[in-house]
Amino acid sequence: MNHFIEAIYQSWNVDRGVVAFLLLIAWTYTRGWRRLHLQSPQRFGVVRLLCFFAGLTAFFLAVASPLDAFAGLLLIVHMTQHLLLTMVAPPLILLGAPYLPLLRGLPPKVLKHGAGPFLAGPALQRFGRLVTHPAVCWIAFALTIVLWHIPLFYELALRSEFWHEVEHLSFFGSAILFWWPVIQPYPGDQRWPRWTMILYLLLADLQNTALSALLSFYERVIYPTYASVPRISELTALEDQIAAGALMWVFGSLAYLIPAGLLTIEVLSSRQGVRPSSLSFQTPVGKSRDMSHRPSLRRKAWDLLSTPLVGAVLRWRHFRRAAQAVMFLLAMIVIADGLFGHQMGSMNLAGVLPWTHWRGLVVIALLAGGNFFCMACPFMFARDLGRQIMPARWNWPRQVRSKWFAVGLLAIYLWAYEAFDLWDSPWWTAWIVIGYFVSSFVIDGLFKGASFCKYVCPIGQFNFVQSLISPLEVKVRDPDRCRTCTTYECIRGDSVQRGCELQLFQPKKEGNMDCTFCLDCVHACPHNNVGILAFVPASQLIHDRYRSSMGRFSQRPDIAALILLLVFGAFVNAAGMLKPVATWEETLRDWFNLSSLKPIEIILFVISLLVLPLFLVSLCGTLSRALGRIQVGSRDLICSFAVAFVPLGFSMWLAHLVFHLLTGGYAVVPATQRAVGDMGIGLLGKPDWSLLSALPLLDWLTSLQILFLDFGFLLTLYTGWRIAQRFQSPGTRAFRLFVPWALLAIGLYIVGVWIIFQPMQMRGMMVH
Amino acid sequence: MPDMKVEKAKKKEKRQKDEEFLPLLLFFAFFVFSFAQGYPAHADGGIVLMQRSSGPFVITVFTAPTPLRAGPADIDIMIQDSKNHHPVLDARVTVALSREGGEAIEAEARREQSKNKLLYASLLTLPEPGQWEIEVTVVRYSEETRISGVMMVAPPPPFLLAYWWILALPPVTIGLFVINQWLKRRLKAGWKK
Repeated sequence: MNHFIEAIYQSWNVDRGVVAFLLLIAWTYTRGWRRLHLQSPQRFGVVRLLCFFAGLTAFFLAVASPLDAFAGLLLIVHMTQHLLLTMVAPPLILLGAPYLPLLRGLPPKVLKHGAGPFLAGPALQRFGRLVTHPAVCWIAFALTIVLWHIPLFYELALRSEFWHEVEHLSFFGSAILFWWPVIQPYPGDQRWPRWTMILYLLLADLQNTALSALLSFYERVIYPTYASVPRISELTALEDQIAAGALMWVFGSLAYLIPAGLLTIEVLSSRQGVRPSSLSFQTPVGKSRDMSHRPSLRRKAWDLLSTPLVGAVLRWRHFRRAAQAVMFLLAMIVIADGLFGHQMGSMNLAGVLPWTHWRGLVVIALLAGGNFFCMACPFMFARDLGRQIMPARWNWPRQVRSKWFAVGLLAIYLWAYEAFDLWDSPWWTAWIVIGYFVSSFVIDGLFKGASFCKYVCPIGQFNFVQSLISPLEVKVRDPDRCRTCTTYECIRGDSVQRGCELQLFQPKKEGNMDCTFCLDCVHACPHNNVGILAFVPASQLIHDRYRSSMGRFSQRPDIAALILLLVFGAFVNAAGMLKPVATWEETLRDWFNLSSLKPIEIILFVISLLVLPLFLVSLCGTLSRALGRIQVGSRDLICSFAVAFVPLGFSMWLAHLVFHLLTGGYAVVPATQRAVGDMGIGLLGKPDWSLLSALPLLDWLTSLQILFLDFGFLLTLYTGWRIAQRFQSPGTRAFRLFVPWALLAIGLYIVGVWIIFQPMQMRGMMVH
Repeated sequence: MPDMKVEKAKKKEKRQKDEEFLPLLLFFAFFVFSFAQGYPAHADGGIVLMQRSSGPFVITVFTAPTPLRAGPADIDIMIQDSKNHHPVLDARVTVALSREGGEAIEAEARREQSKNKLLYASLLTLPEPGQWEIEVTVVRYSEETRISGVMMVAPPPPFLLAYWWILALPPVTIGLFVINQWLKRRLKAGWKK
């Protein structure tokens, strides 16, 4: 029997979505409460905080505890769950006066520009007044309770998880409404005289009594499901129903009558019958604290370098070198295994580490933090060696001081990836890595600064562009301090530490473009005034300020071309692994009677990555100019709007590369076992090739991919809209200016969704 | 000059406010990742498919979703002692599904997979609709018993229906944004008047 009880206690159903939602609500409330508590400690006392948290806990217990797991087997358990959702959680939450704390807990921008217009709108205010009217509240609650207890609907909820959740939500929502006029959470006004709430509660008790009496005295089992499920207690189905009815009767009556009693005392003890404070903890007027001395709540940006452990590690002078050494070692392993190991991609570390793991982890790092790959770049050793052996004294030619060269290299790389199936060719992969080492050695051996990173490296360009929407940026902590600085070590360096090799002057630096997260500026700054600060992702895309070493994005067609190549490249690269696309290519090959797929691939590649983007973007620019009646040139418009597509492109890369990481993640184990075994070391045992398909196609992965795409698409639309507003003038319609670009984004989004829903071909991989 | 200073201070404050966004964003990311996992085939019983006494046990088979459809399905089993109806929690339970002329599926039902730890749950993917034979085998110590029955599997729901809430997210957000902008303009116009 002990196992039985143990099993019951283990039957928790902790849904991560619900936990995340409750944590978000709790965090927002606490943030807002903290501010309001400082302003008005009596009105927003600790009791309110405790009540709110008790309410959230009651809600959590109702939906996640064993009550939920056993609700389908015992009616009394289901009743307890419903009582928690209607009689316990809602009044406790309302006693926390959640309206103001939840609003004040929101980021100011979200409150002002997001929620503000809705809350200030007369329609919503009218609606709010309507639904909080006591008559509406009472009827809504009573109807909800009665309707869900009709066997047809109750059975529906028992049979369907979806309707069960709808039932719980409607119970909770209507109960919030029901308790609203009783508790009148601050700053709500009093709609009916206070004494009427006593009648309000007594009427609710009558309804509760009628329903619970029906359950208790009915001679048959009302809900057939409970008659058919196995009995796990001594109670028969009918006894269970009677017990549930009794619980509803007793507990429900207490829940109505105790507040009714308290209200009666209040009304009788108050001469005017105006609401006193026993149910609402309201502060008497005029007792709020003098606000002139309240502490400032303004916070500075969160700084990764100021965090206790991670910050110390990142600030360590040799950290970057250590991280680079690890990556260098991995690069050597990739080269060695790629040249001398088994030549099947999924069985070789050169086929697995760079294409499955590294790419996936890079995009996750960009999403969660910033450009951490460039920080740990393994090619730094070759660059430094080149500088020591060779003169490194020429400036990078002025004619190619742009991103055009990198754009060309990136286009070649994207084509080579498809044409030579690089992901399935360890040998080619090894030579690409070697090529990287040689070119970084030669270029930085001949030219000054970080010419390789800034003008050549395709990986760097990918990271620079995608990190424009990363949440972290190497940035000045206090701009005022920089105004007094005359030595500019952040860019010039000093005798010990070099300054920024990419010529990014910290006070003028905007966004992550061209920043390798090398932290040279952090170490060089004598005032310790450079950190890795948090900011709103993609906010740097909206404005067109002057950026150090780059100028304005709107004046840089090379950067626009780089961005658009990466955006369209994301879709082309993902489409390349689709079965329908491969079939289509084969059909075209047969149509033209060709012996090889290569010419078809080249033509499709040129069309989809060069011709089509150029045509679409030019068309958007022309239409945008014509519709918006704007005097700005098409080129400037294209350069301005191109940056808006970074989030959409990034989301497609993320959806694609995370798919590979999550489905082929275990492949590194047998590939390592094989590589180590080939060296005659039997330490890791025989390769377990079954692990290649060990990660099944997760049923939530498609949802996650579409969700990434959703957010990328929405962020692109929002950024595009804000960019269009930059051009707003009396003669210019921002909306018309925006429409062509929005249509292009919609088109790309639809293509992205189509790609995600297609079966993957996974050429050359053993993972399906 | 003082105006410039005020403007700069305002800009600085605005930037700082922007930066407060990060913790919320992290929560939001967690929230998104949690919801992206969607609703798994909830191993919590569903409806009773059959209940039989066999050997020393009373075996009840639950299926979910309702109606049972081709695709992910949850088949749960409760085993009770036929004498006192106490749940039996230390048995080994296997679920075998077969279809005439079609493929056969076999899976072990385990309590760890179930929300309700009195049930043995098996999460299966039913490849096609139609009539399926189901056989449940229960082994406990030296006792082995099996029950069998028939279940009807309906065709799978439309493909896009499974992703409706994710696909609906952009149009809903855009709709809210349009209303937001419209309200903003109305409010501004109201203030000007």
